[in-house]
Amino acid sequence: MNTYRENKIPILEIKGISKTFDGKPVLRDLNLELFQGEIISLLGTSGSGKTTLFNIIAGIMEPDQGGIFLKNEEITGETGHLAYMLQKDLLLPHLTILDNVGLPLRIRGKSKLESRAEALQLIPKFGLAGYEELYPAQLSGGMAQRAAFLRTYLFSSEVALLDEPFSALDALTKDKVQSWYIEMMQELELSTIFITHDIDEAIRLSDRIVILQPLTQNIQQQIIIDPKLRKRKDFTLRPEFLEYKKQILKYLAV
Amino acid sequence: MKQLSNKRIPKKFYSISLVAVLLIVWQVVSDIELVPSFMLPSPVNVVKAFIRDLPVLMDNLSITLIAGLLGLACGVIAGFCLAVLMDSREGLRKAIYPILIFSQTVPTVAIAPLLVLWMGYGLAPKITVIFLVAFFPVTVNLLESFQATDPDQIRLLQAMGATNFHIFYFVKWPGALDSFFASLKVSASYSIVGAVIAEWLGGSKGLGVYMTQVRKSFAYDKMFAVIFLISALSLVLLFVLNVIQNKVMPWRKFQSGKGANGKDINNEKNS
Repeated sequence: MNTYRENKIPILEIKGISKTFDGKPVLRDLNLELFQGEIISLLGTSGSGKTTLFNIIAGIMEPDQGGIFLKNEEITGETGHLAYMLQKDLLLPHLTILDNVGLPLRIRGKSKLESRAEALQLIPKFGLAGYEELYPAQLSGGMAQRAAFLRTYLFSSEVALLDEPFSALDALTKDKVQSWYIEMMQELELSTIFITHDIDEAIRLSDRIVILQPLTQNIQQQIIIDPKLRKRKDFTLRPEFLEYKKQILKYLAV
Repeated sequence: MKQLSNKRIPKKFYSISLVAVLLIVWQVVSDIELVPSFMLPSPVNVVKAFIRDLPVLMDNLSITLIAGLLGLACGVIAGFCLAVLMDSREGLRKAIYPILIFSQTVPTVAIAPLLVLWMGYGLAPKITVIFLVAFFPVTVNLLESFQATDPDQIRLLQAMGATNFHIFYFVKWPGALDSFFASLKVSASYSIVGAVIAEWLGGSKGLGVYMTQVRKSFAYDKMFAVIFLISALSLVLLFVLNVIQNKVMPWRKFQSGKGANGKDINNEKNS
């Protein structure tokens, strides 16, 4: 862990977060640092507080204790700083793709024209050229997820919180979108925390996997994925991949 | 082969033929005097009465239509405001809902004469009656739609730093448009009927007043002509609302027209 941390600047710091619902502790003194350009996966069984943690990081929910710091500035309980993407694409059916992806800009106070112009510049990069003026109902699940990802990126190009963004896609589409996503992440250098239930997905997509367990000290184990291995095309077929998986399964079973 | 022949028949063929058959049966029943013609005038006589009375009918129509539209507008605006208020505060919702339901249990026919007593024979009692029947569907439908908004959608916008107004403007209101138009169509038909009922019970002009006059003089052909005019008026209103809805909600036509790969199958037609 110490060698992993070397020379890395934390962009987001989660310090001593605790949260209780109706007397039942969901998160207890949770600490986590997200480094610049890093991708962390949060793995955990249901009820381990993943979504609660996300709501707190995003500022939708206040923690009982602790704080969230973005580049050393406290943002606890403040919304609008970090990009948030959920399982469903949540594109608004009445807006065209261009207006949908530009929504965060409009909420930030930019005019419709400005938002459209800014979004339009990124449309080709996200593989959405030609889809600008279509409505979400006209898009396939994979394309809709790309649009949702661009909306997330326009929301914040620093830190993104992704809550099971691929789980609603069918297996084949999921594989394609994930490959596309890996390429995009390398290009965008977006620091990301993402929640998943899928162990393979976590190993494939992240630099570091954090395993959350309910009702105990929240962060139990962290696994760092070798970046050189991860870049290999046959990574998912290699024995190392299986080793990571075994290790995670062991931790999750505790 | 069967499919081919089905394709050639326009959708409206069946309903139009049924109406035609019914009209023919009605004409025959009147012609052979199965029912005395002063009680059931034949369709031909109704049409004749309609043409003969056209200027008078149009004159009265404008009065009813103005009252109907004014009442509808007041009802829709009030219904909208009430739904927004009730959606924003749970306490308000709980307080107002029972009164709202109660307001609909009071029969219009019973309170219309009272309104005339209080407000006189002018436009005011008519608009009040129409308002009372028109606002309810709008309030209830809008409120239900607002409340049914996907909580994840709200969570996402909140994370973006959206205010309540943003959430209303970008998510709740557009998401409620379908229900809004559905309730608007119901209210529009109610408003014309409401105007006529109000005129029955008091008034100096309008289709309801005219209807009462012709009924009293046993001119049933004229009465049928008025009934048809009222139906036609409602149909025209519904048609206009449909046109407006398609203009306001251009995305609507794609929502059920998705191809297997998600690419829109209607798209070629549009581009």
